[in-house]
Amino acid sequence: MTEGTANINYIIKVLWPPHCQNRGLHVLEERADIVKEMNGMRSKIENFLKASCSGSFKASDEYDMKGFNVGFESGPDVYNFILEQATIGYEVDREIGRLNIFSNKYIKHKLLYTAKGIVID
Amino acid sequence: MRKYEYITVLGHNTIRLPFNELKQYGPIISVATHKHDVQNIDYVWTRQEKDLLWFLQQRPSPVDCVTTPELYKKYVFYDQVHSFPPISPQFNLTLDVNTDDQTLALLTALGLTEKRILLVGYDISDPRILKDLRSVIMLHPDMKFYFLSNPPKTKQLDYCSNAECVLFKDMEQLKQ
Repeated sequence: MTEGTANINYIIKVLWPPHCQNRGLHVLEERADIVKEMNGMRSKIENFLKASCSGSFKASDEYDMKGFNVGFESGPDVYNFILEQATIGYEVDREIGRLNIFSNKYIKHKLLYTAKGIVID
Repeated sequence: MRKYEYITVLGHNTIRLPFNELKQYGPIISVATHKHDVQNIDYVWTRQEKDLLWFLQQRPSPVDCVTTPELYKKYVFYDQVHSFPPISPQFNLTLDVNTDDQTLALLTALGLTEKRILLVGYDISDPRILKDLRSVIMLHPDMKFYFLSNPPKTKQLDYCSNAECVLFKDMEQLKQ
């Protein structure tokens, strides 16, 4: 659980393309093509977020071998972001962090894709 | 979210005091039965899906709802739906499906405030509700509880040092 950030109520991780995941920094220093692809993907996501979000959002700059976190203010924006994975061409992690207003911490939940919509476990 | 210094828990009983006046004593968390003056309610505890949807559909601003884990899982993408606050392990209350909504609203209020809780329209005629209220009060010695009532003052909370019964006519002294 991490401390809450102003205006960010939901956090979800966008996964790097499979061949970009689990690359150490020393590998990335030698593989400019992979870095370029990761940066390209981040730009694509940021452009999509700018075009589609009604509330504020923030793509994390911290390096992670699996992907990068995106924070959202609004629940419907996250829902839409999860739904549009296949259309825009990205994959999100199966976990979502939701800010608990009482503890001011993000509580992680497992995402479940059901016939009636996306819920948490 | 920053915690409030004061909060009011609105129970099942109807009160004569207008909600806009009650609001002067801090934010209000209510059980789901007070739908007539919803614009003055800040939080609602509800376990019924139809009530949850009703409060979420209020305009211009929906009411923040605290609800059961089952409904929270379903409505997690609604910004105004919140899960129950984490309860510390030493909490010796028995919470189950029969626990009254007032008790759960009170526990929610404890997660939102740090100094003082006003209990307004709080029905303690049921022995289990009274027992739960006493347990909550005694488990939070740093919190001050004020039980608002009409005369005569109840003596049910007399042996709780951090609880006090205050008559509605004297409640001006509790203003922030």
